[in-house]
Amino acid sequence: MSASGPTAAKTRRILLVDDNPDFTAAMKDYLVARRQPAWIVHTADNYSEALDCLKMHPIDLVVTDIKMPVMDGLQLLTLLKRSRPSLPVVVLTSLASPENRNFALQNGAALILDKMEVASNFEAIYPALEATAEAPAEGFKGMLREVGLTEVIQMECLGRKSSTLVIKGPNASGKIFICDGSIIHAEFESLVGEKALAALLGLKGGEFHLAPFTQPPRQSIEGQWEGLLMEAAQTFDEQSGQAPAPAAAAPEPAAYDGNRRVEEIVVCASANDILHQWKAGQAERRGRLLDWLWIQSSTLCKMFPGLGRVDRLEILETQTRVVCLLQAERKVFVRVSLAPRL
Amino acid sequence: MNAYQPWLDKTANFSCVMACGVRQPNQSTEVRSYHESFPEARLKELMQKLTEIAFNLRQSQLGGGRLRWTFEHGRICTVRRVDGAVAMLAVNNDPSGGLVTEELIEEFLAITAPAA
Repeated sequence: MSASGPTAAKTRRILLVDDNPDFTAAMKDYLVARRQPAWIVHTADNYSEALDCLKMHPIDLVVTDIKMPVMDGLQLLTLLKRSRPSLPVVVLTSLASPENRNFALQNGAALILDKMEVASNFEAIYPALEATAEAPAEGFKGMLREVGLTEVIQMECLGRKSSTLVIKGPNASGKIFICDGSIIHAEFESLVGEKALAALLGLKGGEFHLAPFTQPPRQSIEGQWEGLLMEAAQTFDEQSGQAPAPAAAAPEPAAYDGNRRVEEIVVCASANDILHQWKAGQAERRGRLLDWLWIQSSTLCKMFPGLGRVDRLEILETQTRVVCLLQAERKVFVRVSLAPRL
Repeated sequence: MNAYQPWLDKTANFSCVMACGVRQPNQSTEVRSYHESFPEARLKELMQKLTEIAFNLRQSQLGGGRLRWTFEHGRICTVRRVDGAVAMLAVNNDPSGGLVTEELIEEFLAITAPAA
């Protein structure tokens, strides 16, 4: 265990936990070389050294690798979040590992960074580290490029938490109010409700701050959060021109008449890895369907490379609409009823 | 000339349409390609593939009469008539694509069914 760096008045203490001394040495050199703000950098080869260091020093930020002997970084994260919930922990992992990413997010990681990117370009991740170290005790700051806003909302909703998400975009700021796991209000500039939510989720950069829940001026949003996020994503696609906007341009088989309600949701990495389900009596079967659709869509993409990557398949029927979001790491099945409620 | 020929010909009028096709109940298929991304030689294979996917979705009791695939650079829509004929439209991301697709699909569904 070692420490180095200046001891000026405005300093931050960071603890780097990794059993690869070359990586910690390179990161330490980079942080110490920065003059403003000054960093005191501690390093630890394993969890035992890390815990000793935390006892001895007022650490502002922990950056831990996942792969370590005896106790890995995810176990260390869990331990730290129990004993020091306000201490921000940044987890280094591979983007190719959605399981680790989800686990880290669910267990309170402030940031999840791709280790290969970090190792190749410290400068690029520095703003995220600095913002995380500056985070107020009652919440955390994130960078929209590093931890997706949608993922944070998902985690808050899945955990049935209450919070206020304050988002600062390049030119404006907004808020999303989550109460007992439901999105109840959003505001962004002059927009309110679902339009504000879609606009906020469409921001391409900025910062967010997860603060304790405060009562919004009114409730402008109703409905399940999964459907809201999906609608917001679709609205953003249509507004940004990333995809055509048939819903806005022409009526669909059954136009929205206020009766639309989500009836079934499955989120999975694969049929064997169901991440979330809601009212899904046959989640595994839906998972197999999504896997199969992913294979079919990949075949279409190979047949016609000019199409680019697949985004979704919509099954449009008179009484129902099924949306299948198709990504390699995550697939979503949402069935919406368009029939009037009896 | 089959009953769907005028519909197929009409698709040439819309710049957002990259390709289209009709598969009749007797499985005869006609296709049109208007963009290099959709070589005509592969369009019948595409029609076959999309028809199979729609069939499997119907078997899963999820419908499949009308499908819309969204890709990074375009959309593929399929619609199945009551008589079993299937139309396919591939459109680019031009803002007019949605409206054109809806219009063409409505016209396809309204075509008087050809004699068996």
